Amino acid sequence: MTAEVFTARQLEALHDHPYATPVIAVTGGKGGVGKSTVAVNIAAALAARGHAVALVDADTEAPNNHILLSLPLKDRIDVQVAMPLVEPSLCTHCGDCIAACRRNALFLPPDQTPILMGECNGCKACINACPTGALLTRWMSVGATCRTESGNLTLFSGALLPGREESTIVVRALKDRLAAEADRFDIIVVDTAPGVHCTVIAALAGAACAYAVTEPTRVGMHDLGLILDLCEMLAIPARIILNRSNLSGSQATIAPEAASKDVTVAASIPHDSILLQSYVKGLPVVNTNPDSPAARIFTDLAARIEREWLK
Amino acid sequence: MKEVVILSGKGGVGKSSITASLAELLPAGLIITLADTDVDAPNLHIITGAEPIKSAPVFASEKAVIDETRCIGCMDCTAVCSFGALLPDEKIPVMLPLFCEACGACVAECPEHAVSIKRMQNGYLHLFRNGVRNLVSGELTVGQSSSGKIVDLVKNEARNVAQDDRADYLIIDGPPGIGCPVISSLKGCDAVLAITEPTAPALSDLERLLEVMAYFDPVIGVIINKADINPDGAETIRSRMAERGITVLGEIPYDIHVPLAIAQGIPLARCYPESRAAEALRTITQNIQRLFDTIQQERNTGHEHTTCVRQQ
Repeated sequence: MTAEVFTARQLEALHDHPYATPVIAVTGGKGGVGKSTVAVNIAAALAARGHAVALVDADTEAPNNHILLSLPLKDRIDVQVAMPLVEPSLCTHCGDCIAACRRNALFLPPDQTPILMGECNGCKACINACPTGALLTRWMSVGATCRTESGNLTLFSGALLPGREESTIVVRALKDRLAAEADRFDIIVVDTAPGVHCTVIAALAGAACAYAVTEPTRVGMHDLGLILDLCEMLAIPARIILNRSNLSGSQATIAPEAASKDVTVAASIPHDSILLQSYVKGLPVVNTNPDSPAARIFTDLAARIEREWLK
Repeated sequence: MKEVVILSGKGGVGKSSITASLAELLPAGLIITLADTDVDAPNLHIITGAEPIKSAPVFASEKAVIDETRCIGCMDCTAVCSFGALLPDEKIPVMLPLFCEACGACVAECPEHAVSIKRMQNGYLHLFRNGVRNLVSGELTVGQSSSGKIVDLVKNEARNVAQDDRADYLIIDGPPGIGCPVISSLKGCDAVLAITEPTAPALSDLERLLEVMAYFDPVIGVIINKADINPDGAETIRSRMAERGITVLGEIPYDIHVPLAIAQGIPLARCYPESRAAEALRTITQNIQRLFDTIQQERNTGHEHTTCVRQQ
């Protein structure tokens, strides 16, 4: 069903970034399958092996990596979009700004200056259209990015302001912030939102490979199919991580799904009470219980990532 | 007709499973229409085992398109794009349609009138049926954008179907997160059932969702799923909700019958009616009905919602 949605030039532009550090994405289609658990544990395991790791929490609607690492959010920088601010003395009531706004967010009452009444998305079309410069720019916060260092691991976390819709803009601001110092890291691990929409695509952009986390249920398999289609469209090699692999479900269906998409299962993580306890405590299991079965699986995965990308 | 949306902030906490069982457990005399607005990963038809009836493509996305025969390669358009959708290149700008918001800034800037806004297909509307019950579902095509606009269309269609069904309840299984598809799901609803689980990430996401809901002012009821996996966490949620004056409608214990029911594509309440989780869901359904009766009385008497959380 995968169609040629993106041209080679589009893919090149999408994936282009100004640094050479390898980027690994953790994604999954369905929510609650363990994306963040996998991302923080891979990052923590790589950091424990002596690598400088940037962990990017790009699930800007529901960012949780800081909770799973018990890290405070530091160095907060607002993410802002431009909104029009009317300078009445310059306004000639021409209505060009009203015509320019395709979201119908501007309203021009008779004999008055324009009023912003609807949902402005910060496109600046009205500001560009104003012939007299009567629309100035005021900056409106739509979210924030934070940066917290903890030993070898640096967490970059983005959060959309509740009530706003610019999740993707916050992801892009987060990745721009990372890009400014990306060269000092050995590896970058990006944790994406669930789903297959533009926020997820913005997070996946530039990834050398993606780990698609799923669980062996019918819904898990259905959503895995969607995210694997997306990775194929974006020309990002994908591998599957099967979480709660001993869950009674349709585990047998994963092999044909993986084979039909030419994707391998990189790890299977059985349901594990120690892993759940570490999640509840907010500490990676690779740190709290390094000898537990789940921790060994993550450490082994980190060792393979190291061999593939760091040597 | 009452419109109820199931949300959670965090994904995978049980929205679709609870929606499916809720529809089973409401009294048989009530007519229920279902909708699925998780258009990124629609699953309710799988969990309810509903059969496809019909589908239609939706054209809910608008994108700027460059006419390459007219483009002179000045790259002026790339300078005015606020969304990273137009990037400079040697001859013709590279367009990344999925980031395009169709704002028209590039259309206005182009000296050659080479850019225009075009309407695109970005998904499908589906009608499923399970016995007598209709389910309206939306699907975002992988690689497309504007999921919030598909949600608007799903809701319009679901309201029409619910009206034809003479439904008492339109129950909408919503998306995870707090972004545009969630906001579109919330618009015009009477009540929200917010599903959470007793972990710090789920509570954090729930509290962010509550902040969004404050703009819409629905009646809110919280359901704590898998409540017994972390009793301390469940207690934290109960006390936080009490501080905010938000009703906790009940708690569902972790129960292996839930994934077993999902594996079979049959709602838990029908598949394992004697299970602990189904038992808890029956109590919750009664509490939900009481909550809805309160809405009706308030509407009749013209009183404001008592459980409103508006803080702004």
